[in-house]
Formats: sequence, C-alpha cells, structure tokens
Amino acid sequence: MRIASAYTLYKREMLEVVRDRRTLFLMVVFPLLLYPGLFLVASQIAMESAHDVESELALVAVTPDVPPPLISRVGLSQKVAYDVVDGLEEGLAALKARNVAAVVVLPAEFERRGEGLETSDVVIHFDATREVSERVQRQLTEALEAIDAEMLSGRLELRRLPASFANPVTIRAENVAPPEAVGGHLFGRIAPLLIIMMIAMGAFYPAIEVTVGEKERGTLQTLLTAPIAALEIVTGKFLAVFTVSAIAGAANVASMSLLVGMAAFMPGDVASAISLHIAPLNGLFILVTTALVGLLFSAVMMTIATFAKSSKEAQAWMTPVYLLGILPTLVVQMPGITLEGSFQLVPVLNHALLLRELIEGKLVFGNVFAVVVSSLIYTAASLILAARIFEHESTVLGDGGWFRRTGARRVLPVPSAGDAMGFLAVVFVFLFYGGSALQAWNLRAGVAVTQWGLILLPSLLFLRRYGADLRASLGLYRPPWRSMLAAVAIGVTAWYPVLWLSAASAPSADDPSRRMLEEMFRALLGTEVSLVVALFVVAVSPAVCEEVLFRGVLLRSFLRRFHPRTAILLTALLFGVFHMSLERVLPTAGLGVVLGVLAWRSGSLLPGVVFHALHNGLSVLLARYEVEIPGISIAGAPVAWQVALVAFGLGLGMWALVTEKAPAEDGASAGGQSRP
Amino acid sequence: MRGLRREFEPERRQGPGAEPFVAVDGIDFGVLQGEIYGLLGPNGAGKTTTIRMIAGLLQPTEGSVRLMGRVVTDDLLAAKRHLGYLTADTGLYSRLTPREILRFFAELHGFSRARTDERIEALSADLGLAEFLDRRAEKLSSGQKQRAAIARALVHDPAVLVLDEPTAALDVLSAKFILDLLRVEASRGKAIIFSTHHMSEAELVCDRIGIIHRGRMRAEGTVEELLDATQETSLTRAFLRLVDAP
Repeated sequence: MRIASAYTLYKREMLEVVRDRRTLFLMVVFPLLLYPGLFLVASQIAMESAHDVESELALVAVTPDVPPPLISRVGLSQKVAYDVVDGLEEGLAALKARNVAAVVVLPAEFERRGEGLETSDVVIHFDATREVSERVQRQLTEALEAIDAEMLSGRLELRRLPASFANPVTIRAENVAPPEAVGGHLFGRIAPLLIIMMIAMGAFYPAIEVTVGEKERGTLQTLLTAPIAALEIVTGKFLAVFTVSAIAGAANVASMSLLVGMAAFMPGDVASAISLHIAPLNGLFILVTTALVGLLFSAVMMTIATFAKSSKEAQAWMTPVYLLGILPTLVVQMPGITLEGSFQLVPVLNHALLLRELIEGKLVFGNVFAVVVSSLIYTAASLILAARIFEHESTVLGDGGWFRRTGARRVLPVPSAGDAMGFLAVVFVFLFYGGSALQAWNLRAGVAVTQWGLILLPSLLFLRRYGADLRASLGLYRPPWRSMLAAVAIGVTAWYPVLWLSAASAPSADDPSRRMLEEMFRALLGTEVSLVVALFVVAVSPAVCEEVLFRGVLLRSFLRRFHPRTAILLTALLFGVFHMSLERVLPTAGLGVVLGVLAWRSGSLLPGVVFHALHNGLSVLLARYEVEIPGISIAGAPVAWQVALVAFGLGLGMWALVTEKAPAEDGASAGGQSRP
Repeated sequence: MRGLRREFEPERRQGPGAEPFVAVDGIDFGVLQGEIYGLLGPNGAGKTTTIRMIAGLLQPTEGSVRLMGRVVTDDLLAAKRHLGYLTADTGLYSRLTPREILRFFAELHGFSRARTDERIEALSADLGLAEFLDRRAEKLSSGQKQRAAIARALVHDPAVLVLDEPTAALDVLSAKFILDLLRVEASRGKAIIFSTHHMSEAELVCDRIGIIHRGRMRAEGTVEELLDATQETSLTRAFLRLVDAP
C-alpha cells in the first residue's frame, strides 16, 4: 500500500468535510453546546419548580386540634396554615379534593401526654404526587421531631436524668471516599455512554458521505479509474471518518472537562457532586480507549455503508447497528459487571467498562492490553472487508451485489436470506417469552418442548409455507464419509479444548451467573434424572432441532445470497447470540463455525447433527458423573498424553474436513451445493 | 479489445432457472494513437459496459482489453496511468473547486506540485477554465462542469481517453466545444474512444465508428465504409439498417 496515495485521498476527504456545515456542527459545535446546555436547562428547571413549591401557601387539616408548639414551629411564615377538621375522614376527603396539602392526626391531649410517660402516635397523611404536599410533610415531620426532642428533654429534666440516658448508642456513617472518587464513580457510569454515543454519531454521517455518498454523486467511478488501490482508498476514507469521530469524541471530552472545571466556581454541594480527579496515565488511556472506539465505529460504519446501494439504505442498516453498538454501554450502569473473562473481547462493552475503570481511578494493564488488541483486530478485519467490497465491481454498478456469488446458477426453491432472517426474529421472540415461561414451569420438559415445539416445528412449518424444497433447504442428503469422519473425530475431542478454555475464563465460583448455570445443570443432568432423559434433553434435541434451524434453514438460505465464508460466519454469530448469554457468544459462535463448515463442505445436515449430539452428549456424561479430568483446572497444566490424544482426534477430523472436496463454485443449486 | 464478453447475474425476481444476461457478446476492435473511435448504439446496446471494461471498472467474463500493449486486468494500476475517463455525469466533487480537483487527481498520478501547476495552467488555457477555476463545483453551470471534468480526465496527459456519452447533458454549443477539443487531443497523438447515440456527433468527429446493438458489433469502419456496406446515403439510415438486421 502506498501511504502517499491514501494520504492524498484523506486530505481531499477532510477538505470536503470541513466545507460541510452539517458535519462540522454535529461533530464540534453540538457537543460543546450539549453539556453546558443540559446542565443549565436541568438546573434552571429544578430551581424554578423548587421556588414555586416553596412559595405556595399550604393548608393542613388537623384533628382533633392544632397543638401550639406546632404552629410556632411551622406557621404562616413557613407558608403553612391549619384548619381543624372533625375526624380523619373529613380530612382525607379534603386531601383527595386537593383542598388541603396534608392531614395530621394527633391523639387527644397531645401535649399532656408528652409530659407524662405515654407515647403519642401521630400520623401525617400526604399525597406523594403533589410537590407541595411532600414539602409540607417534610416540614411537619421536622417540626414534630423537634417537639419530640423537646418533650423528651422535659421528661429527662423532671427525673433529673442526663441527656445521654435516652441515647445509649449513637450511629454515624462516614464516607471515606474523597469527593473526586465519588465524582469518578458518578462520571464512570455516565461518561462512557456519552462518549461512545457521540463518537458513533460522529462516525455515522461521514461514513455514509465518503462511501455511498460518493457513489451517489457519481464521483466514485472517476476515483476508481485513477491509479489508486482499493486498500488505499479504504485507508484514506477510513482515516477521514476516524478523524471526524475522534474530533467529535475530543469535543465531548473537552466539553465535559470544561463543565467539571467550572465546578470549582459552583456552590459546595454541586462542586462535590461533579468533582473529578484523573491521574495522567489514566487520562492517557482514556484517550487511547476513546480513539479505539473511534477506530472501531469508523471501520464498522464505513464497511456497512460501503455495501449499501443508497444513503437511505445505508442509514437503514446503520441505525440498528448504531443502537446495538450503544446498547452495551448501558450494561455499564449495572452493578457488579466488571471487565473480566470474555467481556474483555466484546466490542464496545469492553471499551465502556475500561473507560469506567479508568475514570474511577483503576488501571489494570492486562485489561488495557486485551481491549487494545481485540479492538485493533476487529477494526482491521472490518477494513479488510471494506477493501474487498471496494475492489468488487458491484461498487461501480451500485447493485449491492458484493455478497452475491458471481456466475450463473440455477435457483432452487430455498427461502431467501431476508425471509430466513425474518423467520429467525420471530422464533427468537417466541423463544424469549415462550421458552423462558416453559422452562420456569418445568426445566427438563421445558427445554425439550422449546427445542421440538418452538424451534423444529416452526422451522418445518416455515419451509412448508414457503413452498421450499425440503431436501435442498435443509441439506437432507447422504453425507460423504470424510465429513462423517470429521464430525465424529472432532465431536468426541472438541469438548477437551472447550472445557479447558472455559475453565480458564470461567467466572469465580461465587459469581451469581455461574451459580445459576450450575444449578440449571444439576437440575438437567443430576443423577436423579435418568440418563436417557438427560441425553435426550441436552444432546439429541438440540442436535436435531438447532441444526435444522441454523445449519438448515439459515445457512442454506444465506448460501443462496452470500459468499460461503460470510454465510458460515453470519450463521455462527447468530447461533452464538441465540444462546442468550453474553459470555457464551464467542465460544458458541466458534463451535458454530465448525458446524457451518461441516454442513457446507458436506452439503448435508447429518454431520452437524452427529457432531452436535456427540459434543453435547459427552458434556452430559462428564457433568453427570462429575468426572475429574486431571489437568482440567485453571491451576493445572493439561496432561501430555491427553493433549496428544485429543490433538490426534482433532487433527484427523480437521484433515477429513479440509480434504473434503468443497462444493463446486458454479453452485449447481440454490444452497450453493447439492449432493443428490 | 479482443472477444469481449460480459454476463450479468439474473435478477432474483426473474425467478428460478433464469439465464444470465449477456450485455456484451464477443466484441473486437482496436484504436490507434491519434484516432477517434466512436461506439455508436441505441440505449442498452452495451456501450457503457464496453467502456467500463476498457476503463478497468468491470471485469470481462471472456476476452481481454489491451492498453499500450498490456492486458488491462494484469496490472490495473499501471493501465489506469495511461487512461483518462469521463462520463456524462462529470463526477466532480461538489464542495471542491476545479483547481483542487485537478490537484487531487494529479497527486494520485504522482505529479509534483510544480508539474501539477504547469498542467493546470495549460488545461486552463485549452479549456477556458480561468474564470471558474477557484469556484466550487456545485456553483458551476453544466457546460463549465463538463469542461472541468474533461480537464480532470486530461490532467495526467493520458495516452488513451475513454468517454462515455460526454455530451449527453450538454447544449449544442457546449457539445461542440467538447467535440472540437477531442479533435485537438487526437491531433496530439491520443487514442480516443467515445460512446454516443447521436449520429451527427459520430459523423462529425469520429475517424472510425463501431455500431453496437444487443451487445454485438454489427459493423465497423469509417463513415464512408459504413455507407458503402449498407448502400445508404446517411449514417442514420445506415445505422437503422444495421440495427434492424436480424
């Protein structure tokens, strides 16, 4: 790649950006106005409403009569007047009719009881939906507490007892966190959300402008006839998008810093609420993390925009991606979520958690390293994909055909990729509500009914309704022997590395999510359950039902539209997400890739079913009999002979898989393959 | 251009078993230095697909394009150095001025600042760009835009100039200006390929004409040769006879 060409393109893109007022406003002016504006508006509204509530005269109904000490403490000068009512009912009716702000019910001879030894039960009825009522309730409570204290001291004096007589224990809580740590805690929860949101927004429009925007303006063809390589184009454009999102991020950080800086000139309680101190090294890593977020969003947004046919389509694609991208930052608000295990690899979530740690004053180099490396890998992968799209002639034609395989082929009745995605969305909703309810009712039966009734049955009904060819849509063909060998060899060995990896990245034993999972496993696989039932529920059912949905309906439909690699990866990712556990997304998706390759290479559903059943079945047996595998622990290293045996099995399986002839590229069928 | 053929995938809505669409079906022709070659054909004849294959924007399904003795697809970047390309929709960056656009493309071609300025001066004089050289492209008239676009295609002084209906959006005077310019550039030794569906334009400037219809080259030669072959008195009649032929 020639840096000079990429730089020339970058300069041109930036010149265009600088001359685009809309982008400039969004990236610099908007954030600079946003925070002071929000602060001013919020504080003004709060002050205005407080002023109104404080100045309003409130009428309080009292029964049976108003004790003078109460009037002397909360009277007209405190904007409170009293009205004696006959009993509680009349008072409550007046409160309901909003004629009074509160009703105070006192015992008869309230003052006399205070002088004796009795306790007076005083009830204040108020309306929490009315601010003035809440204010009066506060005022009355304070006044009555003062009367209570006065009565107590009178009683003590009468009996010549010291004040400490009534206070054998006093309790005081002291906050050792300095104000800046409190500020850090507060900012650590809000700032990542705002920063990531603004960076993503900063990348949004430029990503469209430099890709599909250029296509629409007719300048892309001209650019593509200049001597500049696809990777140089993508690099130049990516740097421009990144610059804009970085400026947006910087403008946000600057604006927030200004607000924090202003805290010194504000009243004490406001100052302590937004006081923040960040160590220089943490500050540096905050900038690095912010830059990484910018790199990632720029690359991903640009890649999506590149394959869109129009700006409108790009926006339609990017908006959900933007929202999905922002979603993990909300997780940061939850207590107990920390940057550990596979969270370090989940994009955006890892950035948000790292930002929170850094703002709160923590600095764990391992976490920084994991986030930096994973971000760079995701960014590079996204850019390579964008360059591949740019290289493809569909970019010129503007037909979005990059994902389509070239060459003529016969189209068999297999659902389209879009229809299959729509179907998955429906299944997902059913699973989320129906599956959860079923499993809450009875875990074992619930899991089985979910698999057969909510996954397999709808899949078959969908294909039938679609009028699809069932054999082609599911890959119901006899598989070649190599694929079966691969399925068996990998199926019986894959649990070992998976288990070892999970042991290394598992949350600690007292982690609630792990405890929940263990309880679920016990209920499903414990020795009180018959082995046949356990194997049916956990091994056979998912192997059949999930394979029909994922490697059948989804993969075959995706293969009709996408390049096999894209189809397999997309299916695997959806398979990972489908398991509805953030920590399991990546391992499950990894398994999904192997299953996808098996299904694609063999052209058949069966090897995947066998693999899936063996893998889950072995997990059942291991969990059920709590087999202790030496070396399977975080502390111990794997034992050599086991590793050798597993490596042999995996190697054999991989050999069989790789040497299996790939389906012909001309794609004799809609699924991209067929083995009649 | 030898045996150029280009197929496109059938649209999904065309349903199962649809055959691929053949936009260009075995086209052969060559253009010499200093020659203006006109690709003449009705809309949808395959002119743009042919031009795009010459410019390296589309890959031929079969056949090859040779530019300055080299197959274009073997080394696309090298081929693009010898090639100037222009379409009807100008392809100018609207927020940049013609001077900035010319500079950008000259830089992509590896020109030094001094050489770039020299080229801009020369093109400005040839194409009369001076009055709007520093005005943003979005504020230029159609004629001015097309002149700036031609300057952009010529900024690296390419040996081959490929133009896809360059006069489609222009009035008669602006179109004449462009056609005259093509003559001047051809006289400087450039090979020019230019697609159009206007007979009069083709007749006016082209040294040789290739008539394309339904992806195939129906006839090729000078205007006189085409008239002789069809026994017609005008290019329009000759064209209609060739296009109507089965």
